[in-house]
Amino acid sequence: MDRIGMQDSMSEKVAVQHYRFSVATPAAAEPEWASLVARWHQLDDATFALVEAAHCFRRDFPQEWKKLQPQSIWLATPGGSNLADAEFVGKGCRSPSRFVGTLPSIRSSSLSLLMDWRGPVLCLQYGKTITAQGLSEVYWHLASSGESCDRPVWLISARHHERDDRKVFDVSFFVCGNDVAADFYLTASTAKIPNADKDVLAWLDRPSPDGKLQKYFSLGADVRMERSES
Amino acid sequence: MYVVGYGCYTAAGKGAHALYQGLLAGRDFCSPLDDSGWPAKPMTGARLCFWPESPPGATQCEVLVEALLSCVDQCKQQNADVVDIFSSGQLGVIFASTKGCIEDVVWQPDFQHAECDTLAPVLDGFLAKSAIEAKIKICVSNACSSVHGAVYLARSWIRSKRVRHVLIVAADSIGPFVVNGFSALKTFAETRVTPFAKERQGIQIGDAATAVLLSVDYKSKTMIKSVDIESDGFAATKSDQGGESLVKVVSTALAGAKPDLIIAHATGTPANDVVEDAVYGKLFGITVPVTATKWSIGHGLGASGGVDLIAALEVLTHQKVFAIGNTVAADPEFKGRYLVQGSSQDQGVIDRIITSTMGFGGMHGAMLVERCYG
Repeated sequence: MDRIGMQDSMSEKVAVQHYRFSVATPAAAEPEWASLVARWHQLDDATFALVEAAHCFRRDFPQEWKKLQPQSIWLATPGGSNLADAEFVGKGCRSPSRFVGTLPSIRSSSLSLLMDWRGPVLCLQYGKTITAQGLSEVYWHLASSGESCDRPVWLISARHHERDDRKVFDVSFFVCGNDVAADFYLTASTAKIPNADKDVLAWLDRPSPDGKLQKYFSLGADVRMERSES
Repeated sequence: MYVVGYGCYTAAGKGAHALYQGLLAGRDFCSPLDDSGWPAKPMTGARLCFWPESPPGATQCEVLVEALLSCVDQCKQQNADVVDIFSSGQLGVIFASTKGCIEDVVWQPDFQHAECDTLAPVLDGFLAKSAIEAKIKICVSNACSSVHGAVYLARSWIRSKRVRHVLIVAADSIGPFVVNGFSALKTFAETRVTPFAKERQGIQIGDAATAVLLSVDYKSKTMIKSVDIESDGFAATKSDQGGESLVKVVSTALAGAKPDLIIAHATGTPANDVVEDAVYGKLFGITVPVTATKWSIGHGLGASGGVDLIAALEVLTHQKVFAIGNTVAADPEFKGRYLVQGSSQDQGVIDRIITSTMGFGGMHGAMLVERCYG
């Protein structure tokens, strides 16, 4: 198969920039990107949140957005399309637009329209540790890519909670690459067991109880996060 | 990546032989819908291809696990030399599926609040019962392109030397959720599925489970030479009519080589077939024959890529090519060369086959499968 084999020089660290956005659904008004995504009003909540978050990324960080366009997008989808599945069933299994939303791949379609981008998309699932696993997967993917990887890989993950009868999605864009200014790094380790996604975000956001920022956090699959010195 | 073992379970029965012989014989395995006892009944008729046997009273998770176990047993029986792979400590396992065991949970009133995954339980249940040692494991849900996505990931695993072998298992079974969904989309054919025919009506869907064992250590007579996937973001349920994204993945997978056969996605819908013809007509004209499997055993959803891959492996091994058995004649406006009913099974030496897929969300995939000499 093309050229199977390990690259001779394997990067030990993969730099990661983390962008995080909070989106409440249903939308209170027509979004600014409505003209780019036809039938935006028929998008399921998770897809709408993802697209809105990407819009915020592009709007709030225009230079980074332009510079960091991905070679591939990996969606880490805890709970798959549960919300969309429930909506389809809850409305009597009659709505074609609701059924369309029941596949994680649909999110990439609307995202691609907003980004005017096309490329490989992988929709990964494995329960509540999928963000940690996804980061590990991207590390290994990039660590062996060598010179063929001149653009970053995006891992996108979202979790939701209920607030005041609305759903609030916390969407994270992990921009991973060898040519990226780092918020933190992915490095090889001996850790085997992935941590839950909520603990990944907690490590990113808050210091440990003793007030110090923990330098490392295990993702499992022999990968850990390492806080950047800068 | 060498293909060192494979197995499948479709409406044609258990085993690649049953699938291949059913395709060669031109059999359509569609059977009537019995929706008695279903929590929701579809708006329209549905063309469905069921597994011949399912354990009574079993959950969907149990049914899928048993189907996958059957497929892996076929791998082991096919090639006793590779049994050691399953306990080598160098095996990664990927489960490809669209909805997994959705029927077991989605009808429960508190489902939307449940933080459950409908794919992981199938993967974990399969691994527990099979006693396979998975060094790494994960699920891929890329709609109809799930197996192509899994192969893309498997390539990454092997390139990074995380593992030396990858087992890709795939399964989807049809039940009220997906049948109601496709019925809501009004995509089912009314009478027959006739891909690339002028009178094509739509799809049929089918139960399907596959297992494909890939290795870089063990040689075999067939290999997956390359794979490419792309999301084109044109629209949720259709691709742009020019098929630019499908052209890209097919061309990338071929890397300048010319295939001897194409196993197309070929759902038989008015829109998709137009796109595929635009692509194959543009790339190959009438120089490369095109065939398909979904007219026979139904669209296997997340496992459909695995079914097409196994059909390709059978063709490479036995050198007989099945036709699109339900299609009497291709649409006269189409430019590709379609193997319709009555086409010869002898299409010359077949060394390279492209399998292609078009999934919801504009997820396209193409895989080049080759025969190995020496």
